[in-house]
Amino acid sequence: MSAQRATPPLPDPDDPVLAGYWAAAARGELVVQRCAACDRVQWPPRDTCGGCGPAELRWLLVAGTGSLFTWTVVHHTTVAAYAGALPFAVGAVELDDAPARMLGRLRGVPPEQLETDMPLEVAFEPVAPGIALPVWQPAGGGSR
Amino acid sequence: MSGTCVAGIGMTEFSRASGRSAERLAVEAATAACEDAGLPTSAVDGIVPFPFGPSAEDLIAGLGLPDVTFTAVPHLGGASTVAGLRLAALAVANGAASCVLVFVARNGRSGSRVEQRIGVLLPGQRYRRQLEHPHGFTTPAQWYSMIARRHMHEFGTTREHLGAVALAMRAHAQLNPHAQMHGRPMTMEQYRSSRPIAEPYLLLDCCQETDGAGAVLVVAADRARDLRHRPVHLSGLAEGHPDSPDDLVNRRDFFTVGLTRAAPRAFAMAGVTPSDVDAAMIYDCFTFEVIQQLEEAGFCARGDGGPFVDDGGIALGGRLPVNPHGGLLSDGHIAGMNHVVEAVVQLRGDGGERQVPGAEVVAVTGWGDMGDGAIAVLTR
Repeated sequence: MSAQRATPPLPDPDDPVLAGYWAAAARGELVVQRCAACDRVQWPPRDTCGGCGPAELRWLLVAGTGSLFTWTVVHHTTVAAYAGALPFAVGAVELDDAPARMLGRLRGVPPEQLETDMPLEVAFEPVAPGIALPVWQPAGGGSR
Repeated sequence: MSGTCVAGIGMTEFSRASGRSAERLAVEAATAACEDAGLPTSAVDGIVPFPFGPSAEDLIAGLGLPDVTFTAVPHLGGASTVAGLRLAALAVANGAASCVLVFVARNGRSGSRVEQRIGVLLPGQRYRRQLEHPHGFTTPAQWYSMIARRHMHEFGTTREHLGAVALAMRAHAQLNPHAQMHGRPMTMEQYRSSRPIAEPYLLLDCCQETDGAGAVLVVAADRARDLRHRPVHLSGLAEGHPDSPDDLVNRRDFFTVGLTRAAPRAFAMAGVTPSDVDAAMIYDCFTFEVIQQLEEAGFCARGDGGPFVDDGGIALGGRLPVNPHGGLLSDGHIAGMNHVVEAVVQLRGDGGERQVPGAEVVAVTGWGDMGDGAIAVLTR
């Protein structure tokens, strides 16, 4: 009760490359990056386009649905903030509407019931004022 | 690499607490490599350190080297050892140096453990810190277990296949008094009941952490002929990088890694094919990485790695003996410098109880970061 809760590692909402992604997540929206010159979608975001180099990059709103490409079930962590959450699963989610796979914690389903290619939807977990973490749960199954 | 050889090998003991500095371990291994070659330490005029640990400057000071003409640091994570061997051979072949020391030294167990190392070494730190760490996704076991799970889904690779790798490495270590797991045999039941770390990886799918050092000396073949041991030729050397070397999951082909691209170059350079290889030293940071690298290096087709390691396939006496010394899993983890040293031991015929009979061609792979790869083909 009196034990101090460890702070989980937090993203930097002002990161020069990822700020737009974190701003969207704070609004409850999921975005990927798209090159304004060649329309190539890339993930993770970069400050250049892997297709045409230094170009203008924009954020593309996606539906926030996908399927489970692969995952790991974490039973051992050195991150104090997660020690109490073991075991938990982190997955790579293949988006339905953009060529990107996003890493994120999986919730709303026991790790032993996870299945390859199962449909998932994004949910946004507030982790700090103004910062929400996109996590994934069974499609149609969880509460937002 | 036209006309280059490994002329000397040196190792310290492996332990969980060396009781001395990594710099001291490096100097000990380097001195042992020079003695093995029959060269004075002052002959060293090139140094290729591992990207984490003692530097070239540390070795110049520690060995009192009079005139070093070449240094270079590869950055391929765990593949840096084999990539560094290639840098050394390139330097010697081009006359930039005549005797190049390649070494790895660390207190990997008692000092700088893996999470500390990757916090410095890994590419894509922005993604690690912002897109992965907040989800509790922080370790190599977690990243690579994701590849293993997808492979199980696509190709039917099983828990028993992973276990077969762990058991083969442990059995080999029983023939190697230097190995940390010497005297500690293991059963499939012990493997299966080890605690989960990052499923599908159990504790015994993960290599240990080690204090220790290893070093080799690379010289020109015509010089090696006059030295103490039978020369071991560096016949083929290559490195390769995956599509997204800073991100594991967003690559066009999920299983195509650096080794996929490097291996054909190294075998072509050596003028051999994978079927000519008598023994392979595979970078076994985790059990599944052995299966994947056997496939991507061309020892079997993609997807066939599980059956390939089953039924003693990679044990001594099997279709392709892998890591007779016990590998990272059971000998010790000094980023695969022990794999390079073992390749030389085997090609000299000095393997004793664990000698692969008539070994003439040995391949050594390196795996690092988000799928960087390197490979060396050594010949007698």
